[in-house]
This record gives sequence, C-alpha cells and structure tokens, in this order.
Amino acid sequence: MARKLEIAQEAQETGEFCQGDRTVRVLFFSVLREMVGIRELDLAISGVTSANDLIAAIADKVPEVGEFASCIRLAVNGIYADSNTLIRPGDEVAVITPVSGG
Amino acid sequence: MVAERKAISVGLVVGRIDQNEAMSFVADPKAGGIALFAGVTRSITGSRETIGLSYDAFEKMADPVLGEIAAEVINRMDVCRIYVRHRTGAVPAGEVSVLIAVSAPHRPAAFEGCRYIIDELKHRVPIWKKEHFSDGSEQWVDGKGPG
Repeated sequence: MARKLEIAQEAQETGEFCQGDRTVRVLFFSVLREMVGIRELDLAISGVTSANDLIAAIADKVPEVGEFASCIRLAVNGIYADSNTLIRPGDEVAVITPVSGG
Repeated sequence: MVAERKAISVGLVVGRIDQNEAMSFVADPKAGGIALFAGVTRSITGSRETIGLSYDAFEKMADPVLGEIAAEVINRMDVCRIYVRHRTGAVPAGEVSVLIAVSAPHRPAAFEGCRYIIDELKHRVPIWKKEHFSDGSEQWVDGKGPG
C-alpha cells in the first residue's frame, strides 16, 4: 500500500500519468502484483510503441518489472503481443509473467 | 465467467467444480467415449506438505484463450463436445482445480483432446498458482511459457 501511494505521488509530481488519451493502462498479476503492490497504473506514452519498448518504459517506472523482463510477455487488449505488435494510447496492456495454471 | 457456444463450454469458477455438469454437457449421441481429466491440488511436493493452492487469473483474457484452445481441438480432432473449468481463489489440498471433459466417437481423440487442452492451458492461459505450505510459508509456482 505504501508503494501504491508512492507511485501515485510520483505521478502527480511528474505529470506523467493519467493524461487521458495519451496513456496505456498497465495491469499486474500474481508475483509482480505482490512485489509492486499495485494492480494497475496508467503510463504515458509518446505515441505508437513496440512491446519491447513498452516493457522498458514500464521497467523504468517499476523496477521489479526489469527483473522479470526476460520472461515477461505482454498481452495487448487481451491478445498476446509479438515483435510486430504496435501499442497505442488507450490500449490495455497486461504484464504476463510465465503462467502456471492447471 | 463461463463462455458457451455450440459444443464448447469453458470458464473460470470460484468454488467446487461440478463433475456431473461436465458429464452432462459433453453427452452426445455420436460419442462412444468421454475422457475426463482432473487436476488435483497435491498435498506432498517433494518433501514439503502443501495445505492448498490459490490461483490468480486475468479473467477477461483467460476465458477467450481457453475457448481458443478448445476450438483448436474441435477443428483438428474428431471430437464431439468439450467442457473446461478452472478454479480461481483458494483450492484446498485434495480438491480439483481444473476439470476437462472431452467426448468423441472413439477414445483416442477423447484422450488426445484432454491432453492437448491441459498441456496448452499450462502454457497459454493467464492463470498463476501459489502454493501454501504447512509451515506457513507460501510461494508462487514457477511458470511455463509463453511469458
């Protein structure tokens, strides 16, 4: 919870979050959700971006994501992204660590 | 949420999975066999005792991916009907966490369909499990692809 407040505060200070149509909504689950302490955040992007660039941008704000960068896959609007996927403002991006259902 | 369309019913549920519902759903006059796979919460892993699992899921995406996997089986194999349920939240040791039922005219396709679904589910469906041990500790289970 402390972390959540910290990120919210940083967002206000930098003005980088919650800028309406220039943001993507980033969702966290399982181990990352616990480590980061938040379920989602709105991240400003300057325009169309690739999955790899977005992972780097998220890791810049949330260092824990960097630790998992090599095994993370993004899902954009509910569909797994690949190297050709383009992410645009307004998209919903789930940060998927290796899954372990079953 | 549960997604149903012709011949396929998949979804995530909280609480026990109803095996009778699975058998009823996959019943088909053309079927000569039904294969059922139940994934159960194991209480002993190596030398550690597990009291239960808990599952987190990206529900909005899990249902469509499960449906996609089931559709692949319908399209590629000679099967009749498919039922898949996966639990979320806490699942005590010994209880079923995932149930798959596939009916087919002949048993090889029913077995093959069940196996394909559980194998793909473990790699593709955004669900994560955490083990809760008897000593009070807990840990997220190392996952498999696509992540």
